[in-house]
Amino acid sequence: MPKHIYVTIVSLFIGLALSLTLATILGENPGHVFLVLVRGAFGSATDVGYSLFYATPLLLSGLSVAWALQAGLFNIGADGQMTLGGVALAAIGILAHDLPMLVALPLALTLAFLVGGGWGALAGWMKARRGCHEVLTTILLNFIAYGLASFFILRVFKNPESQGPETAVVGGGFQIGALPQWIGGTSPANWTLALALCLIVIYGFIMGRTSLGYFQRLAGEAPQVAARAGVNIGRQTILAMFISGGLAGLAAASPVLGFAFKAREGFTSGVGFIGIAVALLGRKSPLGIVFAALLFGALTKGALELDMDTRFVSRDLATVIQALIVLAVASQVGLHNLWRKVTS
Amino acid sequence: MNKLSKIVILTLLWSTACTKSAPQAQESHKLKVGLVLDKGGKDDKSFNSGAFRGATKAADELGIELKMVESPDDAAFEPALRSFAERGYPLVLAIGFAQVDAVKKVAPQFPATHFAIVDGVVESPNVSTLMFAEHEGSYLVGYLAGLMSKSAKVGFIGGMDIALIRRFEMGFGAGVKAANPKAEVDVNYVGVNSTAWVNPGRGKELALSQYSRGVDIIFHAAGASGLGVFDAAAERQAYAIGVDSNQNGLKPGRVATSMLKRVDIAVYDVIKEQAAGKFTPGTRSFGLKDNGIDYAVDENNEKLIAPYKVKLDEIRKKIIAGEIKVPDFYTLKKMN
Amino acid sequence: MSLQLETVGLSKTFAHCTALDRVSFRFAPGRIHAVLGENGAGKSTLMKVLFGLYPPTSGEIRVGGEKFEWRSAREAISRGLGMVQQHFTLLENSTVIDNILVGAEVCSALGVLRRSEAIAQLEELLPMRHLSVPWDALVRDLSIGQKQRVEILKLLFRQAQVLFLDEPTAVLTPIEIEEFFVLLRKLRDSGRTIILITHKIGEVLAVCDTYSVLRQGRSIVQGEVKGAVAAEIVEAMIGRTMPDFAVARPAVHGQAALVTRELRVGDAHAEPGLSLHVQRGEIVGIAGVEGSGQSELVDALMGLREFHGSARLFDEELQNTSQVRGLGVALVPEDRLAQALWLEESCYTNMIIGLESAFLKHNIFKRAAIEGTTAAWAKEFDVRAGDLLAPVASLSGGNQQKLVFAREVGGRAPRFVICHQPTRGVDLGAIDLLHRKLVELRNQGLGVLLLSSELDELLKLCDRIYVFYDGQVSGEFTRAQFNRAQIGAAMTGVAHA
Repeated sequence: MPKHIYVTIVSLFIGLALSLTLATILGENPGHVFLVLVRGAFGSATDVGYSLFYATPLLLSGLSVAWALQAGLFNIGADGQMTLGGVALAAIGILAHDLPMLVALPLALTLAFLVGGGWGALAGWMKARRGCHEVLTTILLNFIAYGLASFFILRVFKNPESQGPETAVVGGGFQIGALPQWIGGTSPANWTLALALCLIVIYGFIMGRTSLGYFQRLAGEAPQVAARAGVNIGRQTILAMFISGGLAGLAAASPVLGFAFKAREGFTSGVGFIGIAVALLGRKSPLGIVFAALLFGALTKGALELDMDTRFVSRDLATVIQALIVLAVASQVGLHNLWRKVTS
Repeated sequence: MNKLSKIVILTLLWSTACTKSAPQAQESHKLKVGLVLDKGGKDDKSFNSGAFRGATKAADELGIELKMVESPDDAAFEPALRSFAERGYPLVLAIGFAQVDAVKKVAPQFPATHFAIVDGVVESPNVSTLMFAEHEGSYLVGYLAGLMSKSAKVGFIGGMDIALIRRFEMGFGAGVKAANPKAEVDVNYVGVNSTAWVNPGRGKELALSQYSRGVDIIFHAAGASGLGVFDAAAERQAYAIGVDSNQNGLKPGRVATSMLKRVDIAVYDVIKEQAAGKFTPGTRSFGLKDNGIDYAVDENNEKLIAPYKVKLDEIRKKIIAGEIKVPDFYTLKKMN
Repeated sequence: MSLQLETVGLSKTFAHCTALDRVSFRFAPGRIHAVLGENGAGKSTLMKVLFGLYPPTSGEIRVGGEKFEWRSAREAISRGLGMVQQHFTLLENSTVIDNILVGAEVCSALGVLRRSEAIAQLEELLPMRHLSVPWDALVRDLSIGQKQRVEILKLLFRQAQVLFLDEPTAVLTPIEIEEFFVLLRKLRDSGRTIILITHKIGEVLAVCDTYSVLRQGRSIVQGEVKGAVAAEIVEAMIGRTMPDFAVARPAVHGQAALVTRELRVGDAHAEPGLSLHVQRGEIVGIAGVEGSGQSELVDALMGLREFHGSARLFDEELQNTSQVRGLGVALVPEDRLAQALWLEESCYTNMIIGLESAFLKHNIFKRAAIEGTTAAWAKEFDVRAGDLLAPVASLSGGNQQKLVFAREVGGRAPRFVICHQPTRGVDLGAIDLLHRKLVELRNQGLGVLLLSSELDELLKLCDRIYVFYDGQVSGEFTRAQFNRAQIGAAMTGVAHA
């Protein structure tokens, strides 16, 4: 087994053990907390469905961040790209209300990809042409994206029948169906999951076998070599941010077209940012991303039950667990050395 | 691999070992009540705090077993409501209009469970809708503002520009005009999205600007952004009026009163009815007559409003008696 | 206090390979010892084990006859060992004296630094003028030779009796090397033990007293330099005799390949700029201390940086990288690890960089074609990788460089070759192969531009040499005019007649 998988799994258990220890200090029984988490996430088909529902946008935002990482770029802007992608989905779903599903969904998803991608490409362009660091620009573009989204949600596509900050409901042809009951129970888990998994398979193929993935990775991992081979790094950067942003835009499909059937303000729930953790924990690999997204999805669902079934800890423990896992992975060099000392 | 599996096994063993020693949860025959709060959480010093207070009071006095969940985002309402229902909670309370969709979806799936929702209408045989006559209370504090204002200029600062807050504004404006037909009402909203509830800086800025234009008393309905209004009032030695909970003590002497929206009473009542087996579905409105809407008098403002108290109580009686018709934004705009 | 350092049957095994295999050497005090070996022979590992950075697997280290187990570098330092790394570990933005004092501060009772006291101590400790450097100068303003002296001073200030110097002359000009040797002799005469890690035979003969050869982790021989023959030492290092480098160089009369006029990049080159030309069938060398404008020249020619003036290759003005590549330019860049190799990837992949289109069908890579073709190139250029699927980072420096040659020369069929420091960190066997290839290319009528800081290499291969000093051409020599002293003078800016 490759060393890094090993280290990741160890990090996982260290993160979990530390969090459970914390729960113990707070007066909970760690075994109980653990069981609540597991039961909450996998206890019934509906619970599994919710775990999958939470994992679905994470798969895509994780994929988005991973794609940029392959090209040596750190896309902190997935949340903003996703937000705009979601607004685009809602907008087309309202404007072209009566389209049949066969036309509606491809159209909407393409549009979300283009809008999210365009937003990402903007950061890519600023990096390629003006040398602005993408971490900075994507963070700042997030704020602009939120502002734009507010404008469209509240002023242009506002739902007249609700007090909440949300758009009107999209047409029936735009609504992505729920997964069959035997998988997702009565949860809102929907077919976007299948789309996400397909895209992850395609991602693996592109990165491993095609010239597109090859040049993206070459430009990212060995930019000086690429430049000397005549590769246009700037173009690769813009392309990478376009695709990364597009994938983030698609991450909006599940919450917008599969769950609420409208774009609510703040519908991303920070999924774009958690995508960073997913991509890092999954080490950019297709299987790793699936694993990390499912783990985080399950944790989110499992943790909801903590509020009900424990006395001293709340669902925030899940955030603590996620943070500790990421920290453990991030410090894996140190851990690995420790490991070597222990075992040698 | 060997060592790895050891770690895994040890972690699991430790977890399960602890489980065995866990004391078995006692089976109780108390009434179980699930409470799902809106995003502000139980410490928002306003709306959610009120609901939590009411439920806690019910727990203490009626001996029910209360479980509270704070929702991080819109997607979490539904699983939270569902989890309570699945666990056999006979009564589940959903606080805030943001939960309307979730209750609409979950309630029909659990017909044996009773749901109650505050501030949003859901029509279902097992759902009780708890609404408040915010306009009545706003009229009352508007009347007070009209009496108190020496410059004949009063201000209103709303949080997010939505129908609910327009309802406050409209009632308030009518109250002001009733007290002093010549008075003007200056109206500002903090914003159009949900961050408008949590922007005290902007609240203060708007309040200072209103005071500069001659306004000498401001009513806010802006959640945490209203805290900025109180700061501005203290700075300019002017007056402000609080909302939802009793906020008189935040700047003693500068807060004329607070319009109370007694979510705690509504929540308490619903739990009490359930305990007595008298849960009634349908929409119920709390207003001045049942003290669901009120204005706050305590040691911080007693002296300040003493000269107006008699007049205010007279107005209150007239509203209850229907002698004064307070305009309601909801019915006027045919919303909800 | 003088220390004798000894290793007895010292071995170090890593997970999959034996880096040191029962090495037994003795380093007597008051002498300069050369530790010789090709890249990957185990020199670095030996130093790290001696210095306490790795624990030995078996065997022992003796200091002054007494068995000693290092547990950390700190302990090694406290026992009087000191090491100057190939890459300096100085704080560029601090003064010389602060660099020397870091970690060994001379302080008053209250913890206030006493610099003047430290300087007095230093000057007392070292009655050697050669070592004097301006104490208050910032390190970033020093020449490379001076920085090296600061590194040595750091060690002496910590009472080091045994000094390890890892390839210390790689970064120095010929004149600086001479000064450095004088310094080494002084240190030796003060009773210290000097251990020089190197692969340059010339240095060994010039300054060392003994030589110790490592090959594939084994100690092959340890002997006195006096009376030793260079060829024997080389044979001990590479395990075979090195054939003489006598490659026929028939005159090839070619037309102009590369012509630059008043080329200037940023502020690296002063007015009037570089006017150079390279004919077909000619190897033109650029000599000069590193940082004299060579890297900027290469970048400009490769279309990586904008420049003033003109640069024409085969009568076409150079514009951007893909156009330059399209003209048939092969590049062996200066920094192999950063500029030539995709370290995360396999040897196969590394051999198709820049040549991808030949291996694509519908934008999908044809694996079989890649593996078949590149394996043939690897064979032609003697790339020794156990498995070409292994990451290129796992190859030795020499094999990596041969792989770069295989790609750039074997894969591209170039018309013009730019080689920048092609033999840095490359073992002798590989150097020989690469040199032969370059002359072969010349004989086939290709133009070759060879930039190197190793004067010997240029003298051996070039038809003509330009010398750079401070971004300018300070001299031009045809093969008939080659003269080490004059070229060396031009490198330091002294114009030759």
